[in-house]
Amino acid sequence: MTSSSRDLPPSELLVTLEWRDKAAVLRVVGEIDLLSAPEFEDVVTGVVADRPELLVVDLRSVTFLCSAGLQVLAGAHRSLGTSDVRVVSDSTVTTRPFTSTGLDTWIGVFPTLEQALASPAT
Amino acid sequence: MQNSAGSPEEADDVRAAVAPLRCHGVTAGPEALRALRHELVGWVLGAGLGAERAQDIALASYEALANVADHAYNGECGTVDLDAYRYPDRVEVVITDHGRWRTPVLDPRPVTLRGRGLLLLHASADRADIRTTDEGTVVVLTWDVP
Repeated sequence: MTSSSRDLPPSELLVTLEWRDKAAVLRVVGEIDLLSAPEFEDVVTGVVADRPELLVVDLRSVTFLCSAGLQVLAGAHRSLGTSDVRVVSDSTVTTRPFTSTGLDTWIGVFPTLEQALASPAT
Repeated sequence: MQNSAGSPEEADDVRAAVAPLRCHGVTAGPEALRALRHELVGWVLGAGLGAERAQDIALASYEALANVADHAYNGECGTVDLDAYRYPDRVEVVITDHGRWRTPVLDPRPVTLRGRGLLLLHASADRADIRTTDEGTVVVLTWDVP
């Protein structure tokens, strides 16, 4: 498994990108609201343009997530077509927005990064 | 009341001591709404509610505020009022704007990009009442506190 990372533009959020083979792993730290969603969208759009086979967004260090953030991830799911978008979440603050809107039907929510990477394609 | 944190007497003291939160004329823009959310969370925790309840209150209230920023003033930055009250059996958050909410446009595609804000608002509050008049929109969000 190869691993590489590069710096992303400065953001209201702290976001780091790491490639694991053809899977892109985005780790996000901070609050995803109207203030930070445009920057989150810029980062996600940039990664989607590289056509990862799998996009995993690690939300375990996200302390607030509203519909503006869900919209960015729904957009990524739509853009990537057959590729999977998955999230890592181990708290209600980031899991419930997916379950209560039904978005978890399309974007799998996993408690650990390893599980998100290892789960078979849907 | 036996299942409340601390003794019932302590809980009553907390309730009696919690003054309503009143934030009026807040600019409905991203910076001010984030600051308002932080202030609301501080008030909720100070009102003796737990962290998970505070998350629910922050999310539903923020979605209502975000709707104001997004819809009510047609791209212009209006203002919004937020009042939060601690009653013996519940917390109520009232969000008032003076614009008009757009009717959500139905998106037939399976993974819609918009329209999750109201879903989250309803899922995160025990009760949500949204009333639109010619004067604007009033959202009353209620959480029962056992």
